[in-house]
Amino acid sequence: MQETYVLTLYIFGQSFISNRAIKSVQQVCDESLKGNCQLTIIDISENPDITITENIIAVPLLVRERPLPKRLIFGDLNNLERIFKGLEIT
Amino acid sequence: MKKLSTGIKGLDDILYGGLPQGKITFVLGRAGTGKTLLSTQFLYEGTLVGDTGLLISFDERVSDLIDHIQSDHHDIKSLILEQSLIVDHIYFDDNTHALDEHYTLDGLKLRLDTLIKKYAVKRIVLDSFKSLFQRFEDSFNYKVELTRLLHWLRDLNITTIITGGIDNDVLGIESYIADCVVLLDQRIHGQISTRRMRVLKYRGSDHECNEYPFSISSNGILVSPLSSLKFDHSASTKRISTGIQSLDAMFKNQGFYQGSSVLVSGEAGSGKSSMAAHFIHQACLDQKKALLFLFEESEAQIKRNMLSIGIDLQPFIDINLLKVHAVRPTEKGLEKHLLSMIHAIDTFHPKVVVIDPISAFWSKDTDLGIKALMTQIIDYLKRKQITGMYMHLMHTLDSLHNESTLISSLIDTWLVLRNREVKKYRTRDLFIVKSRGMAHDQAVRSFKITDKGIVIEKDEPRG
Repeated sequence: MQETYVLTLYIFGQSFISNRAIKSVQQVCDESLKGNCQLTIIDISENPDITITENIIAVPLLVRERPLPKRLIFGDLNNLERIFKGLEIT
Repeated sequence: MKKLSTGIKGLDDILYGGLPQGKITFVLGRAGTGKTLLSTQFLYEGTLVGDTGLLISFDERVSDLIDHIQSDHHDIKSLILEQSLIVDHIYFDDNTHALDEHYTLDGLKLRLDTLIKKYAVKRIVLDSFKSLFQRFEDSFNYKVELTRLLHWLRDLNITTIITGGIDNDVLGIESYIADCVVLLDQRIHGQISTRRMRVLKYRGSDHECNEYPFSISSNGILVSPLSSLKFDHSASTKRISTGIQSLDAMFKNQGFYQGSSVLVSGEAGSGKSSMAAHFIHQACLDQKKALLFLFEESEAQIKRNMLSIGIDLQPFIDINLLKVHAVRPTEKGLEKHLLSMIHAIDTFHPKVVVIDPISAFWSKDTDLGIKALMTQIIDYLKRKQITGMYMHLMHTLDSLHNESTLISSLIDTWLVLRNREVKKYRTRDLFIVKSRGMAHDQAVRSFKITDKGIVIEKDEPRG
C-alpha cells in the first residue's frame, strides 16, 4: 500500500493567491490522491514564529513532508500538473 | 537628515557624517572587496550607541560568518552572547523548487519582523541578498519583492545596508530605491593591488565624489583620512636648512620654507640619496624629528652608503630623532602603503619627511589614480606643516616635465640633479627649476660628492 502523503501548505493571510493555492492543493488531496493524504494548512500571519522554526521564506509554499525525501515548491499553486511534478507525485 | 556613524572614520568623512538613519544603503562590490566587513563594522558601531543590530547572511552559515568577522578589535561573539547583535542565516532548503514568480517574500518579512520586535532591532544588514536566489534561474525576478521588503524596512525606520555584486540586476534596483550607494573596488596595477571606495549617490546629502583608498586589516576597514585636494595650506615664512651650506646659499643662505614640499629629480646615481641624507642629518642636528621612507634600499644600505660620504645617521636613530621605514613597493597593496605611511607620520610626529624615491609608485604604467594618491600624501604633509623632500628618479631631462606635471602644482621647490660627460669625465651639476615665494639662484652649478658629502662649487659657471 502507498504511504500516506503528508503535505503542509503555508500561506500568508487570506489573499486571492492563498485561496487559489488552498483550492488546488485540496483538489490534489481529495481527487488525485483519493484521500490518501493528510493536509495541514498554516497561515503564517497567525503564527509568525513558524517562519523561523520551519524556515519559511517565500509563500505560498507547499511541502511534501512524507514520503521522504522532503520536497518544497513555492509560486503559483494553481496548476495541478506542476504540483504533481514539483512534489514528485506519481 | 540624521546620520549614523559607520565606525570607519574615513568613510564618515566621505559621507559627511555617516549613513542615512532609517534609510536604505547599498554596498556594492565584487567578491572579496570587503562588503560584509564594512556592513558588520556599521552594526558593531551601532551596538556602542545602544542600537541592536541584525545581520542576515544569505550565503554564509552563522558559524563561518562569525569566524570571518570576529577580530580582536571587533568582539562579535560577545555581542551575540549579550544579544546586542543578532545573526541569522537564511537560505532555501535544498529540495526547494520555484514554480514561477507568483509568490511573495512574506515569510522572510515575517521572520525579520519577529526578530526586529523580539530584540528591538535598529540596524539591519542583508548580506548579499541576491545569493538567496542564486539557486534559481538568473532571470528569476525577485526585484519586486525585494523592493517591497526594503520599503517596509524604511517604513519601520530601520537603517538598512544591503550588499550586492556589481551587475546590472542590483544596479537596476539601486537606482530607484537606494538612498545611498557605496561602491567598493579592488584593482591590480603592475603587481600592486589597490582597494578603493567611492560614494555613488546620497539622497538629500552632499558627499565626497572621489575614489578613496582603503585597506582591510585585522582591525577591520581603514579608509585613508586624506581629505580632498583643496589649496588651503598655511604658508610658513620660517626657513629650514638643506643641510648643505653651499645649497642654502642658492636660496639666499636660508634654505627651504618650513612645511614646504621639495622635489629632487635626478637620474640614477646623480646624488639624490646623498642630498636626502644631508637634509635629514641637518634636521636631526636641529632637534627636528625626521622620518625616512625607503622604497628601493634597506636601512643598512643607506647607512653604509652615507657613512662613505661622512654622514652618520645611526646616532639619531639611537635617540629616536630619526626613524627609517624601508619597504618594497610590491610588498603590499598601495593603499596599505599609504595608510602605513600615514600611521607612521601620525605616531612619530616628524617635522621632516623624506620619501626616497617617490617615483617607486610612479612608473610609466601606473595609472593616474595611483599618482593622485601619492599627491595626497604630499598634500597631507603640507597640511601638517611637515617639510617634505621627495626623491624622483627621472630617466631623461625631456621626460621631466611629463612625469612631474601631476604633482608639480603641489611642489614648492624643485631641484634637478644631472650627470654629464665632459671630456671623458662625468661631472655633476644641479639647478633650481622653481622655488615659490623666494629669491633663488638661477645658475646651473657643478657639484662634487666627496667623503665629506656634497660640495657645490661657488664660482659662476661660464656663460
